Amino acid sequence: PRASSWWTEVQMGPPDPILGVTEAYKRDTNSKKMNLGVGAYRDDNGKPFVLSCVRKAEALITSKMLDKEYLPIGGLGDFNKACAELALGQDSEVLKSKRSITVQTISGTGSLRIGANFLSRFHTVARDVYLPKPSWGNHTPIFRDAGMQLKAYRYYDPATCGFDFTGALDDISTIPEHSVIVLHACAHNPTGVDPRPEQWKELSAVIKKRKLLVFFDMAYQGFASGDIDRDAWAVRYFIEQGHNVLLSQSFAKNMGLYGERVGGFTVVCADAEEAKRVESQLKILIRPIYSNPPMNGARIASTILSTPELRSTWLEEVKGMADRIITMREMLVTNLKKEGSTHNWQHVIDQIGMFCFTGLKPEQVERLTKEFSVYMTKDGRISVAGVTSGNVGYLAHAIHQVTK
Amino acid sequence: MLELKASALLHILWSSQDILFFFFFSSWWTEVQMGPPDPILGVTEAFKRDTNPKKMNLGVGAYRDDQGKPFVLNCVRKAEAQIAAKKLDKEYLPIGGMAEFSKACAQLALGPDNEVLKSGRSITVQTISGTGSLRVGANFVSRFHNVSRDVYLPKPSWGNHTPIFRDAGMQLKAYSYYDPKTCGFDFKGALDEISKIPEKSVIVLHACAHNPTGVDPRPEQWKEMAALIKKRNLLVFFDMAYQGFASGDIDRDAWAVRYFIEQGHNILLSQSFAKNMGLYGERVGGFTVVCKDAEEAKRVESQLKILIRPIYSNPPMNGARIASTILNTPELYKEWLVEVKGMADRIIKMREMLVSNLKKEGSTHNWQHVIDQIGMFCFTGLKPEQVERLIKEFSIYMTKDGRISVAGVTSANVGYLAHAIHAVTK
Repeated sequence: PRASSWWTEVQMGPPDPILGVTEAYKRDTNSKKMNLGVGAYRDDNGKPFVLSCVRKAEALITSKMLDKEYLPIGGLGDFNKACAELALGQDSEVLKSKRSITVQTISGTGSLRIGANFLSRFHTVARDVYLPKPSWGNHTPIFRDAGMQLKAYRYYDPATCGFDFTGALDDISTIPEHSVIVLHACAHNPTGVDPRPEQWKELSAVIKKRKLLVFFDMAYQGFASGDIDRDAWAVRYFIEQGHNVLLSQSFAKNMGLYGERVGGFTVVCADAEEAKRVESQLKILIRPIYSNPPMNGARIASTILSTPELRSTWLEEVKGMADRIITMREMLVTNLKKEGSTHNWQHVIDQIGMFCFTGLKPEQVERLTKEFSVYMTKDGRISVAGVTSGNVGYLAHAIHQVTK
Repeated sequence: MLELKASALLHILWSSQDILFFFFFSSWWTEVQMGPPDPILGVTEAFKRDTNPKKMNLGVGAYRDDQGKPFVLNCVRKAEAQIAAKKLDKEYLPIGGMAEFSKACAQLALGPDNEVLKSGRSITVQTISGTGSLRVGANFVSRFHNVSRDVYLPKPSWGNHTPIFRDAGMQLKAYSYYDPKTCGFDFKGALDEISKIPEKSVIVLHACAHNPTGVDPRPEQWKEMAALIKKRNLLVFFDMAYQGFASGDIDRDAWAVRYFIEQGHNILLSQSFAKNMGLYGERVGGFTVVCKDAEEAKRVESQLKILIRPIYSNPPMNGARIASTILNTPELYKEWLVEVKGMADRIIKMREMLVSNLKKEGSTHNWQHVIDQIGMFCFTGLKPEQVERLIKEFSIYMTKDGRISVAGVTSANVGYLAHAIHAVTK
């Protein structure tokens, strides 16, 4: 006999916008089809890329015949140390004085959610989290499900396909004190638009004046410019200026460890004593979510970061990925000009990282999908990682057709 | 001129205030208190500091072989080699995890011929081991089970159950379970209390090898509980962290889960592969919702994904690949069944040896419960003062409630353990 249903009132949830793109792409039989929704790096043959430093690290780890005992709640100690050093720099005063705590997390999402939960529980002076407009889609439910209120500050200027610096400063200068402000450290997702160093400096000053709690999301260190120190510059500058930041890091893209789920969450504190208190509370928060984090990816990342030859190889490979993206941006613009496009496509080159906000309108995106089997999200965002020297000409042709 | 001086003064005042304020307000976390130390971790830390060569760590909730060493199963090593040879990529898994894993996970729990699986009326998502599964379930119940906020745990239950459900927004209640007089199941007390639980409340049941007591209901007792729970119209949430590890037989250990489903309970189920496959740190688990029909299962699945995405986006691949390879490769599956039985058998043997050694020491107490209890843990019945003496005088470490991890007992140290227990209880 069947029991009555517990879940009659559960509605079918809306389909995931990004997944919908990939599903439609899979069904398409056009041999020239392109999937520019994918938020994962592809090589110049359009294939997923496992870094050779990762393969070497895996071989090293396998040969050690390690056990599979639980990691501590805060994760692999060696990983946490290397993760913090990568972001802050080895000579960071914060690390020397031990006034930060870094815990291993389930990639960037897991890190952001731990941070959001921590804020919700301990940052009782404010409930508001300010995201740039637009921001990564998942930021909103992360903070909302953790119990915070979402607000926004101006960021992207559709008129220039660039940074709305004046608008950002204007909005930030009116944010209530002690609110949380989320900043993308580099390679802003989804726009690819980053502040220049002089602009970061002014942002830092205004944010300090407003006494805001800074939460950096750094998902692309190394992957943006090809240089890990350059990509971490804003984070390090803010810390030098006295901001005790929260920081989320992901190794999904820069080490290609997507499905292994490797990330870190860092709290920069007033001193070592405070860091210990914060650490104890992070553990109390984490334990009833997943007890302790997955070991495999952290072992790989830790091995790479602390083995000199592997670290060197990694730096080259991440630069290689960043360079290929930059080359594709340049080729796309060159090809658009060759097609005869008279539009200003400079933003395609100025934007940085995996994504490009093309400026295409929804109707144009629809035509690209229907007439050319080129798939992207409705907001006109393309993943440059999905572009190859083999298909960039076709892409330029298609974009020109719908914009001329 | 006055204006200039005034504004300059104001500027200096404001700047110094700003500096002063910033100097004092450099801390966001002044009010954050040091949290209490973890009770179990404290045991291990004290154990590590102890220099006594005869020391024993009976707090550890992880299997040890007869040399007291962590044990990585052969079938796991073989599965890893197979996976490495395939040179697979590391692309994101779907939000709900690896499909082949989720399918095999459900089949393991429910039995491959289960009507639930044939009709497609359940959804299983891959989770971050048992804890992750319970938390996804707790969050799901919190969001969608609006008719009640109450979750009933057995008394006692695994320590982490409480914060899992509480942090998810549920209220914790309890039903009688362990009888300290018999060191066994308080069947009458359980039935009494369950009969008073308000309709539609959530009731958590340990499928097998109850943690921390090792006390499981007998099949006839499970049958009465199923009937009563159905009469009370409660939402059943099974926690199965030890399938195969309890009796050595995966079907026997899943009997209660399958019986309840047959009786019409549309249950929630958490599974862990930490112990039965030794995949502890790889974090492999599953969460299952048994629904009315396939259409409801699809709606529930869509909402599980919406819930999971802002927690960790998608689950870790490595452990799921290993578990899936084992479950879906006949020779590895067979080997696994032999190895998990081996672990369960060693535990059972240690229980028997402990009791026979206690008798040899001359103990006149009734230690039958050590043999009757099942799984990794044993509720010895030792009092806090006796536990303290065991730690201080004999360097034998366990939690204050007298719970020992039988996995930490070996043929080499069981004699010492019996001697020590007898010394503090005679």
